[in-house]
Amino acid sequence: MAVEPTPDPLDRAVHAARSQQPEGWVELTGSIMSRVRAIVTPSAPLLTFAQDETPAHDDQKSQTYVSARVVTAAVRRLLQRDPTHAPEGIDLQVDDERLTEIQIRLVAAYRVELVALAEAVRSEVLATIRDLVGPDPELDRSAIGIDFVDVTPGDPNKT
Amino acid sequence: MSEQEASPGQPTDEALVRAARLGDHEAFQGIVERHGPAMYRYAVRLVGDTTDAGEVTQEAFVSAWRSLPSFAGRSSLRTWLIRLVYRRAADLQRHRRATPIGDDLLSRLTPPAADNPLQTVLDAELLAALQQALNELPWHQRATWLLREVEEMSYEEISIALAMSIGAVRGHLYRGRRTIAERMARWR
Repeated sequence: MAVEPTPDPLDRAVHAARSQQPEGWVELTGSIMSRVRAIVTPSAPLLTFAQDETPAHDDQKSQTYVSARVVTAAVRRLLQRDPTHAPEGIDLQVDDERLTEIQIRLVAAYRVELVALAEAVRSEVLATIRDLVGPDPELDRSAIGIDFVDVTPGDPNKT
Repeated sequence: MSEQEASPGQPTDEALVRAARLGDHEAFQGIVERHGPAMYRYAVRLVGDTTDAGEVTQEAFVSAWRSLPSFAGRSSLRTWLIRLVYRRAADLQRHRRATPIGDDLLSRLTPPAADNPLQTVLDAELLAALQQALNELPWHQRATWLLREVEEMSYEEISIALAMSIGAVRGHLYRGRRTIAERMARWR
């Protein structure tokens, strides 16, 4: 079997180095993601509410809380669901263990009607938050602020 | 298309960063899978040891996860990630002497088998010779040469990744190229 002529050994070595896939990468990916998933950032506890709109208690009469991180993740997943918009930022304002305000920054797809989208998002976000913290009587649609910070030509979850 | 670019239908780097900043592990895994192989390859060639390179790459990605909120997008994601790898490799370098290349590294760096077995053997020998030459280069020359010749980054990208002026990049690259060419001359 003949070896094809090689114009320059260094060029050939560089070309081989560029196409190289380092062994052990698959295992390393798993290790990296395990480390990343284990990183827990500090998160405020949020007071939850029972159906009678009073702070929820467990069987031992202790108040029940949900982590702000859980709320943020749920809102993020909600906002990633549709191709019309994607979340750029989600900031929760907490006062005396109560969620008082949610500021959301969105990237919208080009040609989407922003006012209507904001109204729809506001309703969906409020419903998601109420699923998690319960019916806090002081938390309504006015607590949810929405800013559109950018527009993309396609689905902003992908572009 | 290079391995760093988004395939059609796949999220762009911007979309992945946007989601990962909000704690989306799946999006971050997309970043790891897209850019990790090149980062790991760079680390292996730079530090000359797969175990150390794995640690360097892992620490760089952990740092990236923590630092994503401060990533302003002034450089490309790839350049920013390479910068994180380089910093950790440089930290490692300060704490140890240069490690001679070992047989284990050479076997792990062998490229995928080509149709022609003789060419595959030749490529493996050339790669081994190249790594030996790289190991003899001063640190900055090695770092610069790898980014330009193997990762095909622009001078500007390299200057950002290594935090040095474009003039310094040119200088290191010139000297590195000259030395590498001399070392590889015997293969002609």
